[in-house]
Amino acid sequence: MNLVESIRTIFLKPGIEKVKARDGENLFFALVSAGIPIRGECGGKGICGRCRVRFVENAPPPTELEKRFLSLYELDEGWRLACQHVIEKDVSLWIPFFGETFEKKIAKLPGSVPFSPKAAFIYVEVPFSERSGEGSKIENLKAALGENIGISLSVLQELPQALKEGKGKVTLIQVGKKVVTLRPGHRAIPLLGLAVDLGTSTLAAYLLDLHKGIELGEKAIANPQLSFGADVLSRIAYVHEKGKEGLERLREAVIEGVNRLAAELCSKARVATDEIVHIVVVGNPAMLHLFLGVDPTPIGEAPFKPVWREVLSLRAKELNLRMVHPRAVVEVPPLISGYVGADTVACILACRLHEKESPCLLLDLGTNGEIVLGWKERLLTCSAAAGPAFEGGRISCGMPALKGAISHVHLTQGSLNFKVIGEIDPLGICGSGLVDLLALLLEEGLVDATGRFSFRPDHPLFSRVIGCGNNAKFLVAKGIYLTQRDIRELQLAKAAIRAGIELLLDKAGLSPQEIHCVYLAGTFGSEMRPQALVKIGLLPTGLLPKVQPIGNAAASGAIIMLLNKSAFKEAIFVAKKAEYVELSSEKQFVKKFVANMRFT
Amino acid sequence: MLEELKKAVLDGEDEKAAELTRKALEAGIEPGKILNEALVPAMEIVGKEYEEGKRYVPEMLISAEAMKAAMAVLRPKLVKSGVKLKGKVIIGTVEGDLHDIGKNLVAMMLEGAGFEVIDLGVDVTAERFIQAVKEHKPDVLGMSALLTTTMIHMPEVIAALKAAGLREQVKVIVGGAPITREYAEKIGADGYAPNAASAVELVKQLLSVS
Repeated sequence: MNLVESIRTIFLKPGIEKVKARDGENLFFALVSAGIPIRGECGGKGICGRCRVRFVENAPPPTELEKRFLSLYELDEGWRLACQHVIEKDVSLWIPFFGETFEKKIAKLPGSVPFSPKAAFIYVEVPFSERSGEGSKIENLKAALGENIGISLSVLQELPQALKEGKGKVTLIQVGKKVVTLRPGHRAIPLLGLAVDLGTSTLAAYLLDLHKGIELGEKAIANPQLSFGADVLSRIAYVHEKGKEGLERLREAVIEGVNRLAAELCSKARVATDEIVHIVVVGNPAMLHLFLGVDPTPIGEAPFKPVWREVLSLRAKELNLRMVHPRAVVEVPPLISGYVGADTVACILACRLHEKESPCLLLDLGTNGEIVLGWKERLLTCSAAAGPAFEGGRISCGMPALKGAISHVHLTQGSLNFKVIGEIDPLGICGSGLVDLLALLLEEGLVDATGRFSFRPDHPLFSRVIGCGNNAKFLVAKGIYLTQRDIRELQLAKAAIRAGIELLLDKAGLSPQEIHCVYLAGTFGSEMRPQALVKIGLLPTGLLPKVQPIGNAAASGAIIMLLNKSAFKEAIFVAKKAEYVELSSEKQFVKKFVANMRFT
Repeated sequence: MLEELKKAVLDGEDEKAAELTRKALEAGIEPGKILNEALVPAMEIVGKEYEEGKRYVPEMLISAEAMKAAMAVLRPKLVKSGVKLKGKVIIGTVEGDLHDIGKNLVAMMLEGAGFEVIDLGVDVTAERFIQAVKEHKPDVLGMSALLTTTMIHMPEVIAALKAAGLREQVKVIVGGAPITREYAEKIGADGYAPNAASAVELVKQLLSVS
């Protein structure tokens, strides 16, 4: 028996990275622990069939399960499911989308946000001579400031040296009343803030100069937690199954993601990471629970209650955020319910929904479609479980809006054309591409009102429809299909959102005509062609001219909270005012949901 | 008239289906005959068309609703005439889960296939399942879960059945979006069906009826 643990190497392509793994270790978990962003919506349970990897050579014999998920052709090419194999020797793998990150376009800030950040530096001069003055150094400092400030142990430890070096002059860096750090002398020092949006599929961060009020950079990466499940529920189930250890793994994954974003943004902007002193983190409730290492399992079951709802103000060090100042103030805006979180509050702030004279609709179309119907009188919110389809999840050739994703599909003179992110050969199709494609197929009569592929031998595109019944699929590009099952997923997703919209309108006693404006938030939402959304029935027809894409509004809201100190108070006001409607306990919702599965 | 009733169910015309059932009864047609020669064949077609991809949830549901309307008229007569149903099924969505579309479809398809169905609704705790099994003595217990976070209650119900000494009396079947055949086997259920149409086949097979 071999008592020495053998270490194997996994070579990853298309990049050039190498990963070490133990002999006999499960391939999926080896890749996950190495931080490789492999898809795996079920977390390695052999349920989802998404952890596809291609063995460049010597693929192991396929398992029965793989024969169900992969075609003969794919098996022949060496495609396997990582969770089905253990590592027995060095292997070379090709992993889809490995190493691809992308830049996410931020929304323009709506109107002008008054620039008065919570983070500020203050010049202080205190009697320096040891003999002059009666009080302690801190008392002198406080006297000089003329107000109460929060002093931490580390500030105490830094104070004598700074006073000495600065000959009585120090620069205090504060966020609100919390002192983050102090520097000797009086000088304009960099003062940076980080806005973080924790999405189920993507993490996005924005670096800001809080002294000058300018943006220094933005970056988004795939959420490293994708390996533990595509939607928040499967991640919650993972915590339920693995307990504390599982929660810790998920927490580490997202924290490392944020660390990576902060490090890369700082290096690109040529600034030091410890100059980031104020961080605002928004996200859906489940993501925030996981980010803070708080057990999210109560959100997983009716009545879906979050552990907390109020504003949190923490320090970077206690969260293990390493690529910012260790005492940086980390703030999390309030939550509305277990499924409507700080991200929605931030979106409301970004489009000023709470100040509108007439009713407006706000849609944040991610895995959980948050819907807000609001104006200055009311803010009705709900979350429709659209599933990950709009983000390319649970779709056979679906992928997030990353490089290589087909983002738009259109017909020009009868032939099918598409746009690919990064203008490379297409690797898959993302939400906006899916909706475009479905709208096109409906428009051309290739898919009927029930969502089924039609028999249309007369149509020039019909030659792209392969197979029939439940096995029918539409060839989009080489190796990329839209299957009958994919259409069913999209039907469920759009029906959930539309039913949610209708239910909120009913609750407010309004008709679609009374809606003044429809704000589409989120990367998916902003990339969407409103015509396609109306065509597939996600939005009522009459709302077409009222649609306004607003980009990643959750991030915009977080940025506003960095730039303007009163925005947090507003966030609290918004969260208090918001009414939450739990769709799954509404009888009317089920009726509307079923009715809206069809296309009209 | 039975052909007409069958068509009304297939087309999802619930009021017409109820009306035709009433007329058929008035015309002296045996309740058992109405069930077996109109409703059961109609729902068989619905199930088959679903499996073939010709129908999806909404098209299946409208027929199921029409069948339900006809059954509401027919059920009291069936009981009175002593028609022997194929078996008794208790069904419910597990604790913490409020989804009922899938579960309702299964219930209606089973009813349409000639089974007696007792629907416990949603958010059903293990205790309520056990109590219902004691009270109704069903042949089959069906559990549904739509959330990855609530499917974990299925093995709890099976364990509770064992603890109450009821496990041998009843076949347990499970279903719902996150459930797989492998999961059903793992938790010791007797059967799994990926959709409402195949749930009917599964129950027939478990009870050896046709």
